[in-house]
Amino acid sequence: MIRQMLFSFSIAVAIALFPVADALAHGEPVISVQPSVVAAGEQITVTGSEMEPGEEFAISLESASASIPLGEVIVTGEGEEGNFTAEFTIPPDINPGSYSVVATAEDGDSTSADLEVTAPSEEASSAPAEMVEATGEQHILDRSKGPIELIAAVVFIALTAVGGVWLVRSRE
Amino acid sequence: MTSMSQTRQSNKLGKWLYERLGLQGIAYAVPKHANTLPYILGGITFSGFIILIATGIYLAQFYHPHPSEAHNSVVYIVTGVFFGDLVRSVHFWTAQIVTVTVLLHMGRVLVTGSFKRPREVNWFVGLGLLAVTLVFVFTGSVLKFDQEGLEALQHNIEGAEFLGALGAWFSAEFSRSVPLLTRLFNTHITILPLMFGLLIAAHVFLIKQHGISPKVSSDAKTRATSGEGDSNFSLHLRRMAGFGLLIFAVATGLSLIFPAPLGQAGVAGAEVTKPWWMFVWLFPAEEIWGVRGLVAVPALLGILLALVPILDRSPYLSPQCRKWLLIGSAVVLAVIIASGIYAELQPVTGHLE
Repeated sequence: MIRQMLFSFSIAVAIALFPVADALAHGEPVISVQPSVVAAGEQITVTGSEMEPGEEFAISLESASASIPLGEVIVTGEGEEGNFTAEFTIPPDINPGSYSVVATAEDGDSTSADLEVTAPSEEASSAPAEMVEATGEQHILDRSKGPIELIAAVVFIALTAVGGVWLVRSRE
Repeated sequence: MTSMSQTRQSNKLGKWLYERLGLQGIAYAVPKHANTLPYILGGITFSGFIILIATGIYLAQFYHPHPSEAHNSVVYIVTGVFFGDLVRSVHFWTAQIVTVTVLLHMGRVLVTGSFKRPREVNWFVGLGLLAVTLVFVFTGSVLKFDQEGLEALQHNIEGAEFLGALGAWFSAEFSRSVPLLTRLFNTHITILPLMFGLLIAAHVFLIKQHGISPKVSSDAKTRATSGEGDSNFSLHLRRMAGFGLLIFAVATGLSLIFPAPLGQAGVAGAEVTKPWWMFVWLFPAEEIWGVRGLVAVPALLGILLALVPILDRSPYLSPQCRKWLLIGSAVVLAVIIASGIYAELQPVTGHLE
């Protein structure tokens, strides 16, 4: 009985460990980018792992309308475990928006990570938000309320205030 | 309990609800002093949370929790959603009011010794609720993703890096597939409400188990009071609901006059704003110790608050008999307020590395 249990346990452990061992031996290359939100003109750190030592990757910044080469890296490491860490500067004149940092190997295989690029640091502002009209006109958000919204809010305030006072003053 | 039964019978709706919902399960005996404003601050806070949940559900229909869309979606809420600006502002102002009532509630419990035996565990549950409330406020301030929100997020990342493995969950590296902003939004609408629900259930359960703490007098001693009460639970609930409606009215009024702020889209790495009043007092600590101060000072404050029931174990409730604890608490509060005033008066300086 004990032998049967030990055998079943060994099988269960082997099944549980098999996919992990498989993933470690033949993992897909992955990259990560720090920080994930960066100002134009600032630096990012790209880290690659699960790669073959000696492999070369071209790093680029991609969006629907742009493809900007950032540089090339060579994977270092021993055996089957290769990785790289490299710093790149985001061009200062790039348009703010969503990009992908793409690492492309010599054989064409690629892997990517998301990057959000904001305006350059000197454009940071604590001023109120602005919006751009369809005409291209830019102005500070209009926070004034229309008559319906205003009347509804005032009626709501009156009802909740009266109801609140009535409940607070209720007695046993 | 007799007066509770009388009230139950006093109106048909109450009787119907009582019978169908088994409200006796949550009802607890209520002494008269528990219906006064200082003792009902916890209930007022709970009412405020109900408003926050209702307005938060509405806002979540239009908010997009991705870094590239978040700020635009808030602009859309303000400019394009039916009652969007008003609902967002009510959410903002109610959060401010709830933070105040949570702190006042904690202050009342501290001053009246309501944390004393056998209510020590409920004090710790209350501290958990305070922490949840502050994390709610912090994550909420990040979500709008304007300059102030982005700076708060960057401080969050720096704090996580300082904590190393302990802060891994709060770092951008934790998940390669989901941006940190999206995970903070998930935290704001799923994890924190769940924690709040569990903690508030424990809070109410323990109030029911131990009863409301006795009224403070010169010789009053702490004791369990479950089942004792010369008022009734129904009146207690009505007062809570009443104050909840008044919060709603005040928050809506403030929203009309002072709409919830929204700055321009955030620029990474820059530091040109100050955080909200709940966190601005940490500025001097950050100036002196950097990100270590942002992590260590709140942690130290949390430890001091957790030590309160251990340091003050005398049975007396009167503040006269507990001068040292209250003087110590007043000194800490004075330092926090002074730090806050100093921080508000200082020009913004960069701390981010």
